[in-house]
Amino acid sequence: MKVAVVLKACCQTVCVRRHICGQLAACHSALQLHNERRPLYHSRKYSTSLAEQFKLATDSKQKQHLKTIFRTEETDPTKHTDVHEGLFYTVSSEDVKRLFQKSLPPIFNKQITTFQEACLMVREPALELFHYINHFNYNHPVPRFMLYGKRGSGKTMTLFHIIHHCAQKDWVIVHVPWPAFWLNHYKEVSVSAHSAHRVDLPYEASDWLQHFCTQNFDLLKDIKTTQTYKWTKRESAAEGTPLLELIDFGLNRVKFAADCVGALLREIRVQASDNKFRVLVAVECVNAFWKDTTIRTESRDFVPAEKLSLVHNFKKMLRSDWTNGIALCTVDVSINLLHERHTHTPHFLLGKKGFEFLDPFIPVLVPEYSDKEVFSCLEYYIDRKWIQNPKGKTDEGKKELIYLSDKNPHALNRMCAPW
Amino acid sequence: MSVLHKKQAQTITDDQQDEEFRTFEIPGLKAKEERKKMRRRTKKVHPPRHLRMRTDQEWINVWPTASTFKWSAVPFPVRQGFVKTQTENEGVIPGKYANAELMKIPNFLHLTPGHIKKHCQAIKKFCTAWPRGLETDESCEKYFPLEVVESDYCVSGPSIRDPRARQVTVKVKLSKLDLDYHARDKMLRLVGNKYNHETDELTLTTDRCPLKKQNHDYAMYLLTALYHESWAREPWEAEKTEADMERYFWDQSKSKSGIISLLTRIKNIDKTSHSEPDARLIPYLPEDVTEETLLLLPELQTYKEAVEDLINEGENHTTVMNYKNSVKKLLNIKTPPS
Repeated sequence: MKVAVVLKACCQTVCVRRHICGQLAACHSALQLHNERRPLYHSRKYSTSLAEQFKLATDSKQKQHLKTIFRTEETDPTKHTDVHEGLFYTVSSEDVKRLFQKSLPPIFNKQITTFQEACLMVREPALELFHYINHFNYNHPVPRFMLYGKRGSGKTMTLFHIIHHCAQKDWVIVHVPWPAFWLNHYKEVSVSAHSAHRVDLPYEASDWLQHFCTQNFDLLKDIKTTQTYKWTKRESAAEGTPLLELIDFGLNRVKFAADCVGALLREIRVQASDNKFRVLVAVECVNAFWKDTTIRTESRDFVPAEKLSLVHNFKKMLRSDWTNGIALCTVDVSINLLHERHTHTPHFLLGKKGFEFLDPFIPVLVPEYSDKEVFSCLEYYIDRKWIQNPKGKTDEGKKELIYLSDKNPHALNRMCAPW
Repeated sequence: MSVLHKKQAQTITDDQQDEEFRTFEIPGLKAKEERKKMRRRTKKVHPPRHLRMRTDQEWINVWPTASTFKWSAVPFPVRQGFVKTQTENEGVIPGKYANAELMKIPNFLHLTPGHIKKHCQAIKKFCTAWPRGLETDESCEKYFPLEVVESDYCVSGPSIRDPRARQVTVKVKLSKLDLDYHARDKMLRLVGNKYNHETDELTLTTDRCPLKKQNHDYAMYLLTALYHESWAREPWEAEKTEADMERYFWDQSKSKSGIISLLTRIKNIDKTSHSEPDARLIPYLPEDVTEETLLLLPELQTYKEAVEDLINEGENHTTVMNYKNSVKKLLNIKTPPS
């Protein structure tokens, strides 16, 4: 984390980490740097010559004019158009808490605390998808969009931008953050209560229910089930039970959490098809659905992810047999082993099975920064003091950073960290 | 010196103890007779031969046959070898003088254009005229599609037999054989790695029989058998499933049935939704949607080609964009104005 930024936040509440001397020293130097950066006023007296005064005035005017614009005041993602391309908009802290809190990539989460705000850049793939979302005939079956691109090119951030857009329109958000975690980071494994040849991850399912509940709390109040769900002989959810109650049941009886997810998703599909609300299904790293988990069967084989009841249910959301929704996925190369990362294109990552399942989908490339975007991003980093070294603010420094990062957003972020 | 002196003195005392009085010679007191130093006479070395060579000399006379590299006879500078560090030999690759590396490797100093010309002149009297009409490589390939490579070995040794002489290599371009799609595919599966995809060449090498003639016959038999076997259609070939396919066929894939059911569903929806403006319906779908009518649609044909290209050709920017555009057209999704 940048020392000066920390320092700025904790100058009053002196909370410098005293146990690391090196950091302390760095803090002191940063303090000096910070002091140096206070606005300087010209001690020079203005010349009496009219010509010189005029020159000074026009120079300062030109400088103001040349200042790069990297931020837009338009914080409503539904109103973002081509005009805002390459500019950062601020996501309100309530929205961050409601929509993204638990699902953001750790680096961006850290960045929010460092920058003391959550900003997303309005980029071309998101604008393209807004156009598709705005012009789609929702009587037709769910179309599937696939974001693909190199590692660190901003697929996930584009997805968040679109989630924000749809949440603003009061859509139900079915967001699956990084299902690849289910493959090897499960807490408990049990045989599904619903069908014996499927595997439940009860804690992961209840985590997801919680995530879903926070994202759509306001909408869920009005939605009720359309059929009876029987969990055990005694426990059941009768027709007309509010979905919040269903979620509560899943959270309290973790054993049935995975089945609750199935029931919930079914209700969403059925009721969306009845035109009650619109749904955005956003799945990150969808290629994990066709990988193997690290769970072993009795015959020591690995259980394929398709056998997980969670994956089974979310795959149903990606089928085009319901209407009034949009399915949006990303494919990510990072879950592949090192020797299986030849390319980042959808068919390669999804494999034959995955491609056949999702076909026809619309691949949307998330490219690396364009010239405009990269300069806007650098300006933003300078504004947020992520770039502090005076040399990093010069044209030469910027050029070097751009060259070193190859305009890859993630690489640029990391590259700027020590500057 | 003193030790030697002592020993001498002792022997004298033993033999002539009573005859003579032993005198003590102080070393270095008497002038010693100086010995003449023998100098080995070094042979006078002539300057290397290459310094005396004329620029217009006949190289064939200097280097008439194959021989090991002789530094003194080669009139040009040449370096060979490996320098491990910058300190070794001052970082310079060793020159030709006393360079064992140059002697190890074969050289072609006996095969210069001059040599070849002379060889050709010498064997010209044994040659016949080149057949007319075969001047170009293309015409050779056209009239003689089969290429047979055999070698004879001539050595001066106790036996004139050479085991390598029995090898026969037969090369033929698959495009020259009369094969249909099935036969060509079967041929490729039968020959395996003996087919070169880049040159479209099938290479059969035989060396299992003791004689060249036998091996040649066997190669011809192999080629004939392969050709006829490729054309034969066995009953079990009908059991070929999608996994056995050599390339992706959209017509036999799950994708096809999925698309047809999707389009049928969309058409049914479009029929019932009267309130929607026409622009949002899918315009190209016919009134009666059946598999046959759908498959004839140009939109579906372009989509099919795009999917087949994507999978068979591999994913690159063009194929992915083609796929994207074809799907967008298929589902009537409008491209944003740029």
